[in-house]
Amino acid sequence: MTDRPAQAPGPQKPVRRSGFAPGKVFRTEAAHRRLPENATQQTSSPAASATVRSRSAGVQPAGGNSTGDWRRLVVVVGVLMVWSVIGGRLVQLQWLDSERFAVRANSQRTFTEAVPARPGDIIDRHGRLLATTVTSRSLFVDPSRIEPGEDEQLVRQVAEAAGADADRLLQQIAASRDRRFLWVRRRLSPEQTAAVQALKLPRPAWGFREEYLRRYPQGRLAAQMLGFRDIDGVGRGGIEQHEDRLLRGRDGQRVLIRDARGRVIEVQTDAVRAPHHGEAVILTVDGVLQLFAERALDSLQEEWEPKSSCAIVLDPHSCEILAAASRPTLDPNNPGEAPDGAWLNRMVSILFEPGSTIKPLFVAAALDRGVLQRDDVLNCENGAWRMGRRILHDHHPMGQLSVTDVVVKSSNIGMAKIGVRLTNEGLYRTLSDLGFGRRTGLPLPGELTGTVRPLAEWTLYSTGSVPMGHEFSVTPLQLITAHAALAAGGRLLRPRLTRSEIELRRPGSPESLQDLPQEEDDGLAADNGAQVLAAIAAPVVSRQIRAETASWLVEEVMTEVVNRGTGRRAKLRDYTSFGKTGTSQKTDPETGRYTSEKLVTSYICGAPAKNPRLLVLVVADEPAANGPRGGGTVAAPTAARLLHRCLVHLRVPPDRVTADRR
Amino acid sequence: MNALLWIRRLPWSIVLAAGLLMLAGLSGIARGDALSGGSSFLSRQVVWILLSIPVMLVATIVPYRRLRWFSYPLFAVSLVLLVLVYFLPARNGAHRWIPLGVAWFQPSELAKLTFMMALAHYLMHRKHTFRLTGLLIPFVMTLVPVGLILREPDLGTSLVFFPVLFSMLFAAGARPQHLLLVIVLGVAMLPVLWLGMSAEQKSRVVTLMVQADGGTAPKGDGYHLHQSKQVLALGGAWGSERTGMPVDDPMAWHLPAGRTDFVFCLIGERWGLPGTLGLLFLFLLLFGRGLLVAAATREPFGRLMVVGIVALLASQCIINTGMTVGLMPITGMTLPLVSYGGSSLLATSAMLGLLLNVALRPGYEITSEPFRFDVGQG
Repeated sequence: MTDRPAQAPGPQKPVRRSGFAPGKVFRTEAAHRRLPENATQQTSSPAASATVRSRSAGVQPAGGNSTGDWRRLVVVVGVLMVWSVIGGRLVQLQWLDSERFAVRANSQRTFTEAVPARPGDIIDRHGRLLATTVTSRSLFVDPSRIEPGEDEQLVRQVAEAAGADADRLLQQIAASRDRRFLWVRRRLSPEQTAAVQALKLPRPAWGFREEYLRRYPQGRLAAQMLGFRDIDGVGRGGIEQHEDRLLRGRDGQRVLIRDARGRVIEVQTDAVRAPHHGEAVILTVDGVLQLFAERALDSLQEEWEPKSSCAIVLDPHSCEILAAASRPTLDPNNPGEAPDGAWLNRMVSILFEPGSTIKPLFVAAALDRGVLQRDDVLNCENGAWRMGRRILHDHHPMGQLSVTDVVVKSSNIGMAKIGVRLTNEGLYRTLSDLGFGRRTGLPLPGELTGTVRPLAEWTLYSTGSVPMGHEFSVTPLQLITAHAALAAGGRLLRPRLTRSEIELRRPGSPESLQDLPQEEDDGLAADNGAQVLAAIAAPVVSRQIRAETASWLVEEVMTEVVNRGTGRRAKLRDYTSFGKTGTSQKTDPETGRYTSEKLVTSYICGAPAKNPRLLVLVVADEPAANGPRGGGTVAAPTAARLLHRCLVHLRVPPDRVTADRR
Repeated sequence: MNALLWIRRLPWSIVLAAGLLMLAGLSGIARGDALSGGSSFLSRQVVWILLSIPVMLVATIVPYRRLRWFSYPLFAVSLVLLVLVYFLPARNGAHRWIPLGVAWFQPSELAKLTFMMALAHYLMHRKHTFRLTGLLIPFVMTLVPVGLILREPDLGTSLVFFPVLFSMLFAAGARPQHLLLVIVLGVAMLPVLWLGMSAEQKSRVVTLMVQADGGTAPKGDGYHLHQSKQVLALGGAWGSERTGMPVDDPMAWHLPAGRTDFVFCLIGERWGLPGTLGLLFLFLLLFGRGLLVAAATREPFGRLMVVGIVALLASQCIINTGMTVGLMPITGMTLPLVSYGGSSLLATSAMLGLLLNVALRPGYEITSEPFRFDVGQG
């Protein structure tokens, strides 16, 4: 780097009193480099540098160095004075008087108050609101400000306006006179709020606080699946409970400063921690199909008066649950008025012996294992066949039956013979391969595993009983999931009820769970967070039945059940459907033996037969009305109507228009 | 300039002091992050520091004497920018910023620098400094940007121009009686300034006068000052870092603008008296060594520029620490190198770069000294 020769302006001739810079004083770097030794000597020798310093610093050297230094002295003294003033003040603040300055901090008392997070919505697959949150007002009173005698009339007025019990409220106020806060009634309706406001209550004694109120705009629709939120906003039952932490979000905090008497003197408006509002949960459910299912069960209940019933509509290819209804039911907006057993989500929380509805699955297993051929003929022994000490019966005695007819006519003896071919081990493997005896992992609380006893406890009778759907119990969901595998070409999928993982993975969403601080909320992120839901989201696919076996059973065998078998009452007008009825005896709890008085009837059906779009299962427990009460009579017509309505609503093209309108 | 010479001439104590001040600032900002529990400023400040190092280096490259010829045009440009600011949308009620897309640029930061350069350029001609009329031009040069900045409004920034002007006049050799006149005029102007101040600005001065030591925090005026002193006192003589005092009452530690203008407080709370006095010592080292650079520089433009830079940074330092401890009214003033903030840090780095630029090119006198003539003739 080089400098040009100095360009300093100013007088060429040194001027008296000039501290600065005649031109020739300045030497360039180049000049400096030419005389390195000289320069080094000058700058390094103490005497020389002292000279330079004193000369250069004195700006007005006229009278000699002593007068020229006064400016430096002023600067040094001034700076030191300022610095020592500030330093002295710091010593006072931080050391000498620090107690006096800091001790006040303890007399202010601060409290953190929760800022509630808004619970997320639950919506169906098309965005219809199934559960949402509105703000409502809750009325509170400061009991210490209520005069015992004088205010009684006012308290009674308030209680009436707010819909609370006046005597109880007066009692509570009297009992908590030393307290400063008492709920009068929480989550008032808009009318009650208006009525209370009309009373023009004195400000500090009475007040409103806004709270979130959970609402279920569709009323009873999918009530058990949704669950509800209790008064403290905790999810109870259904999705509300299972996805509680996701839906509930995380409350924020804000700080209140109170004086020594506990009065709030300041509210920090900027919350210490902003609330994370709850996530929306998207269900796979279609609200309209759900409505169809609810109505179907209503008419079923009315006609047959079963103790309970349950209907599921499922897409076999994705195994997404499109509708699931249970009876008895309730209105989640008034959870207190629910009848007994109404909370039970029967899709996953009841166990029954499936009876004949299971038969096609064992036939499929026998075909796949090569112990049975499609054109085999089985001797059904004219309705009575001894296995060990037990004699098996068919409802209608039959002789030689093809494999198809064994299913179509639901021959127990035929199935027992297939069971013999499969052996107990084969039967057990079939059940366990199709997911019986295990939870499906649906995000609902209270799912049962079903009962499949260990193989070691199976006896000779099991070989006959299991193929006809006894000696083990299943949930409706397990049954329809296994049938979905059959309808979907043999692939067993895990059923799904939520689509929330889409929400969770939305990139850049500030309130998504990944962005929550890990250390504060590791439980949330770990056990209910993205990982688990992502795992559920990935469909578990396993081929349990060969595709040609599955399609043969659906298209050739189960369609015949509808055409000429036990499912004749379940024919659809516009679609070729397939199905299987089931009627199983329940064990009498008193005797422990099967009784023909108590039945569980079921019907599973799907359509169209080629490439099924929907699968419907209806289960009715203990139909009470008189007359024939088999699955073909009770459950089948309901299931068929439901299936038909759903198909039409989904605009599935009819595949038997000409056949029916002839 | 070869590397060896560069290394030998660089005033390392300035570099060291600046680096330690930045580190101290980071520790204060980290404390603020911990206390507020909100977003982290620490990592962003690290980025600004990393950006400021090249700025400082670039400012040392071009020999400063060449900058002399750009000083007037640059000053004019920054005045134009100060006018331009009015025609841009206000932010937080003040016309201080020019949006540059990625960041906000404050022309007043540029004006401070160019003002010093222009003034140094003017004052280097000695004949200007001896006549009273010669003082008129520096005053005009000062009042134009001060007036523009006052109207933004930005009282704090506009006020630092006066110490700079005074220091540079002082260093340039103005007569004592003229300087005295300047001081008297300045005092005489105070009532006018008072009348021109907004209610909020007045309240800050009143707060300063009537401040109580300790006591509960006042709700409105004076809350900031009270919290500032309280947070300083909370750390005690040795600081919370050493005593491990828990933050049992978060509101007592509540400090608005803690990581920016009041970072000194946080450093005091964390490191106690050793921290604050150490910080003051580092500033003293920086400014003292800067003045020695000025003293060692024979070339008047460079010397005056260094004096201006030191005066500016020292004024900011005094005003900032003074307002923190309740000796000065609270104005929006950052602590150079320490406070969080990109534009302040970059501007300070540029100034320090210029200071190093001058230090690296002292214009050594090789052949003769000017005062030999004086002595000979005298």
